[in-house]
Amino acid sequence: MCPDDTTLLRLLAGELPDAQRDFLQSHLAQCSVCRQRHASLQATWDQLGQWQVTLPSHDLTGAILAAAGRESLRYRWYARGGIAAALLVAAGVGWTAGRWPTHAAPTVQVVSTDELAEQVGLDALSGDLSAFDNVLSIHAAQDNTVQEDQL
Amino acid sequence: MLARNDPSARVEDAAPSDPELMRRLAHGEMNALAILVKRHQDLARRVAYRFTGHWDVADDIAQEAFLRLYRAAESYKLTAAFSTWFYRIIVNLCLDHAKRPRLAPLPDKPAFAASVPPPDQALRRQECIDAVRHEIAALPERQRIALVLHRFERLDHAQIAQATGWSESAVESLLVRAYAQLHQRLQSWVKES
Repeated sequence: MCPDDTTLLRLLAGELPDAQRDFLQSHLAQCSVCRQRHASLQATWDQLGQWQVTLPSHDLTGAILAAAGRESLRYRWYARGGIAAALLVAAGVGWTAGRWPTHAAPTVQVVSTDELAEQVGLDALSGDLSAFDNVLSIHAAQDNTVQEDQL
Repeated sequence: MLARNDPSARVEDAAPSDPELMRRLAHGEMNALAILVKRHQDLARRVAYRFTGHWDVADDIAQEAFLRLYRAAESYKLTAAFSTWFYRIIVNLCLDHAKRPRLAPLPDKPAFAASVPPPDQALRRQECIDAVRHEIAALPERQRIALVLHRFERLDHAQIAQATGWSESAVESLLVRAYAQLHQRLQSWVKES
């Protein structure tokens, strides 16, 4: 069976394993069509090989190191600028939020039971019920105040 | 741990591997970049020149390739051979360049089919090389890059597939078409020689 063009290319480039190369070469010795195909490829391969490149002598190392250094410096400045901008934005947001009008919650003074009892003179253990009169009088005074306000 | 006078340790110090240099570069050692440039700049310029046909463009591509390498140092992971990875950077830059509008036209097609053969063999040889350059430049970009890597860099099909990111079968197809086209166009030279 005749090899495809890819196999012939691999043969030219020396990429085939020894066994496959030997098999192919024995086939080329017997098959004139494949021999012709191989010869054509070989001629093109050899002709391309005439293009040898002589590199210019200058060295790129200095230019590349300088460019990398500039890039590194620029990156650092970008990074610093980014951090500074973020801080400014945060400060601005904080300042704006501090000036924003808010409805303050009413303050509630928490009074303990003992304090309340002391205020109204309630002493349950003493059996003195006159303290309840104090409570009633306070409530009555508050009610009068409300009625006067309503009038 | 290697002894201080271990020869292999000395060799490693004298010629650090490419992955080792990338590791050092990731830690900010710019000397590692200098060694990588000195080691691989010829490869980068050669491939870019054969693809673009212009030395100034090739130098720009080589320089940009090393800057990309520098930027990628921190994220570099050894998943393939360093050279294959670096070839891929160059290939991408070459293909990017090919997408841009051409600044200068291709060199004029040499009169290699002239009826009167040049008397001087050296001149004849130079004309043949010019014809090769011209016909390679006239190939479609993907065929051209595959051919440059195969014929001149001597990468095999699998390596070209890795360097380009294309499948092996795609690479084989590109190569077969490229060689067939070049054979057809350079036939007159082949017959005469």
